[in-house]
Amino acid sequence: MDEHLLIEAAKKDLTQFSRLYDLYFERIFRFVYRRTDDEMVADDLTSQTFLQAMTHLAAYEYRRVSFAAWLYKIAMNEIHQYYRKTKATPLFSLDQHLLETLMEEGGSIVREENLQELTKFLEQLPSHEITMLQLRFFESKSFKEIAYILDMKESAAKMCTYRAIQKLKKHFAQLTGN
Amino acid sequence: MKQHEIKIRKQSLDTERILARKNFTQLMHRYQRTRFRHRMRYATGFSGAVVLLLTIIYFLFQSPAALTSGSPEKVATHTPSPKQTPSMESLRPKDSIQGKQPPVIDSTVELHTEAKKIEKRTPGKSVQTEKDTLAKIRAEVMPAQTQNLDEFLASFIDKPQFFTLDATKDTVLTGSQGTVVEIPANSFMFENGQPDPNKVVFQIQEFYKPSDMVLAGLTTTSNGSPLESGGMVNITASVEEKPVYLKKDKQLTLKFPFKGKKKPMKLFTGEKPASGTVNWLLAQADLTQESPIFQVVEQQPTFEGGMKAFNEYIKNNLSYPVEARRDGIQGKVYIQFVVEPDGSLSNIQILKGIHEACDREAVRLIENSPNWIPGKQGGVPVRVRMAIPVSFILDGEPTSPNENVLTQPRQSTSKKPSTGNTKDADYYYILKSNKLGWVNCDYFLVLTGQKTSLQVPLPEDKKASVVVIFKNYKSVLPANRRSGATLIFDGIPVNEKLVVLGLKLVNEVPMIAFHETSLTQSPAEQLALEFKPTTKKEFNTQLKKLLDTK
Repeated sequence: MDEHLLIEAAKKDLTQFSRLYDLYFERIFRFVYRRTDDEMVADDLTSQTFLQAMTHLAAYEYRRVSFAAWLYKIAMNEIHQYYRKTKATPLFSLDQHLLETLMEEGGSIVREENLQELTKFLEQLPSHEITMLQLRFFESKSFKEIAYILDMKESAAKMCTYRAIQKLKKHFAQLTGN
Repeated sequence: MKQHEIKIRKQSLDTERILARKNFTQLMHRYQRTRFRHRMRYATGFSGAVVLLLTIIYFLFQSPAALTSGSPEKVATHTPSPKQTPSMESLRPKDSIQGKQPPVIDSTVELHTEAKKIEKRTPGKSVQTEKDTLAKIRAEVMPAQTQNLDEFLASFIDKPQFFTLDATKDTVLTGSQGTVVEIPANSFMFENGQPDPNKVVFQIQEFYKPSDMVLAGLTTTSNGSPLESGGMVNITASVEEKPVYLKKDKQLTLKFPFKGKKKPMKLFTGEKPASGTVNWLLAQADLTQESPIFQVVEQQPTFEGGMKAFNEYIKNNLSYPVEARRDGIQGKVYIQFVVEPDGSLSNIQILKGIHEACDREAVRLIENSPNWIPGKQGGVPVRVRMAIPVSFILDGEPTSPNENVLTQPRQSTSKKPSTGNTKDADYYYILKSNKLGWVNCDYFLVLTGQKTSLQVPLPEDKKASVVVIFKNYKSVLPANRRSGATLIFDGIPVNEKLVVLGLKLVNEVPMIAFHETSLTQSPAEQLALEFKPTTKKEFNTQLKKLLDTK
């Protein structure tokens, strides 16, 4: 069924929102989980995200971006709010096999110590660049969507991502050089 | 400087664990609740300020006198600050239909009551649709049972016991399994209110053993939270086949025999639908409402073992609400309650709260508290109002599992107390009921530690009744939800001994499938049931052996 119709139906009758919820729950949960690494917190933030979406559903316009991107944006805000309130160090929990693909693409050999190197390196990158990489490679979002989620221009999102990739490449080159 | 932390996860998130957290009904409840709050905030914005001012003025004149002696009722009704009114309302036990707010294990419980309240105050379209969804979801989970199976199972249950009694006199009845029912004189009336039938036929059906509960299609949950049952009875009364009812001002006293450790049993009532499960609700316990409440008495009520033991109880049972922990909320919740002459606690109110979730947790702790030693005035137990602080401290918060609850020995009732001989039962749980019908002596089972969920795929024809029974408690749980052809049981504690039981009937041949198991940590486990044909006789013995022995 067309997503657009689902949204229209949910706007008229909120119980219909359950179908959108079914559709996106897993993705949003994963996304939040990757930023919190705590099942309970992720659970809470995910339902908070959908709650916000339900409350502001009327304000959502289909033309601008996909519904998923809209949800990601809300989730992103919830995550920021969570870290602001708890004053905890923001966290990125990245799947090892995804990192390995990233390394392979960067022309580096996958080894345990390389992975640790990479972790240290990623910790030094600015947070927004990590978020960018996460959205681009781990959530496979388009630049348009990334730009929307992070509230920036599309060209800026592109620029920022390439800059992060360049840094990574340079880092990998150093690793293999050594 | 390190802006963030990177963690590398060796294993990717598995889908089952994520899906176990999906719960739209709960989300819908939460949504309704926030809408309600939102509206309340607008409504109370101005009037709230006025009331606050008035209260302050009132207190300036009243407080010294009112706090030390005099009119305790006044203190009770005016203490809560008006700012907290919306949340206070939701915590005040008398407001809800279910009487005391059930303690929250799964937050759905609380959401249920909340939703009901909204329904009461603002009957509207949105609430109606929300009700519909609930009904739909329930219907989706439930239809697994077949009518035939119900009939087949019912054939094993003990037939109800009939008593003919003279309704103009006080009567004491004892059921074959030891339940004692005390009926005061002139308690019955016809539906139209016409009083005083003389010869009343009283019917009792008792369910103490897990196998009996399974056979009767009974489960032990209240709004999705597990209960441990100390016995269920179905009591009805009739005159010449016409049902009679209990008069409004009359109460039955029910005594449920038990052995072993006493548990904080309360009375739950419910309606049994033709198919599906009973949702047990905590009965209104305002049974001693008329007698006065004392503020100070000669002998103050105490907890068994003193306040030190009570603090210990709080410490061991307090589970820090996630939201509060997340928001870094700590402090003291001042909570007020009445110690009844029988030692039970009632009229639980928050005097000063810190956070909604913490307040709820404090109420839950008091509700689940073991009975106190009642206060005495002139040697007679009386109702006494108490107020205590419950501390929520983030660091060093005790997370040790509650030994009391977890290691309690299972009560054994395998030996039938013989008819009429009350000495066979060590003790009775004594509860009062102001209505007939399905009555359950229960308490909310608080199981600490990690929870996981269990997925049980239904057989191909999808017609089977599947329940999970906790081996160490008398708890029979239905599936929480169903996704496709898979039943999902949520909130199962890790390492808890379970029996997963499936029953079905194929061409009049009973089939049974059971697994004695306990779940290891996450991810959610999947368990395929293997149905094996059996005979009618074997079926019964198998079931009893499986469920009624340790």
